Amino acid sequence: MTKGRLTIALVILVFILGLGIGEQLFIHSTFDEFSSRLNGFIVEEDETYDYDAIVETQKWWEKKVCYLELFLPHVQMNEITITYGELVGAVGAEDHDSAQALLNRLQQTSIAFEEMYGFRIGNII
Amino acid sequence: MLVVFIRTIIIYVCLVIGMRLMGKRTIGELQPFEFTITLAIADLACMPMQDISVPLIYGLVPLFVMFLLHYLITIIAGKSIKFRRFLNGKPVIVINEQGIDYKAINSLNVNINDILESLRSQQFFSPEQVRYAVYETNGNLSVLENENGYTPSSIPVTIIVEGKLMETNFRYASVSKDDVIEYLDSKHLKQKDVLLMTIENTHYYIQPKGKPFFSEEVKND
Repeated sequence: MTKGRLTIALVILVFILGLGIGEQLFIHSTFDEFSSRLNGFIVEEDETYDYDAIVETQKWWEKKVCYLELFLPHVQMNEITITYGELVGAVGAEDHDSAQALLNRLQQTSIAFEEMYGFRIGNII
Repeated sequence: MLVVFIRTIIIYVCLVIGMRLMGKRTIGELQPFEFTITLAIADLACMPMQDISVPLIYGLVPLFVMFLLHYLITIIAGKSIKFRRFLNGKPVIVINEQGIDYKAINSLNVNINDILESLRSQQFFSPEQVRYAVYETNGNLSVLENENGYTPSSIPVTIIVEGKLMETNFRYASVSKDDVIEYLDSKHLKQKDVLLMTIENTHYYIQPKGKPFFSEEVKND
């Protein structure tokens, strides 16, 4: 019984640590890629938005959300999804002022998210 | 998840230290570290049940970390007496042949009323009925009966508790404040030096602070 319990304890410990490390890697890679995608939306030559890239990233994000929702609060994930939807609408309607504001918001939210759920002393204390 | 893991360990350690500092009166039947787990798990289990926006993992990880900590502590406590003493404290004798040990009850952060209550719950209505009483690490009081001690026929009325007069009880003992002060003077005692004084019919029980108790029959004129 003692050995069985020790085995269960070790399995749980390894499972938690393994999942924790995996979660951290996933969060960092997802939000790093999200930030770089957001930074690439503006076409430098004529300072317009690459609509196709924005729609493609929206699909990419929706896939990632399915996994992120397993270990991040849903309300904050929804906030990004909704803001992103507004960005797609603004770019589609060629409302570039609104699109710029929404893009900035998404960029900041992405950075904040990565910090908020990263493994760092500020989050522990 | 790693953040939750570390935070759970920190909170658990702080809770155990807090429980130990609060003394034995806060717990019943459980050891401090078991009580800590009971407190924490109740809340951890509720959080993901109520809020569907919070992933289940936020409730499950601390729950399993608690299990791991409990298991680890049980193993260490089983192997090290020093650690066990640090974790659970040690039993303390609160009543000995000289009566109630004031220093001991102060060190446990309990008061005379707690001791009397624990005694009454074990059918001892006067400290005189007890030869030894030990406060266990789980907050229980273990008592060795004094077969030769005085057994009250009714409930003794507390007149002085930790140097303070219980004036509302005087009428139940049919005494006045002057009677009590006069009696204490006759015994060369000051009110503030009396840890416990009870009267049961004509039987007076006095426990001075830091001195052996005495009791006697006093006829009221």
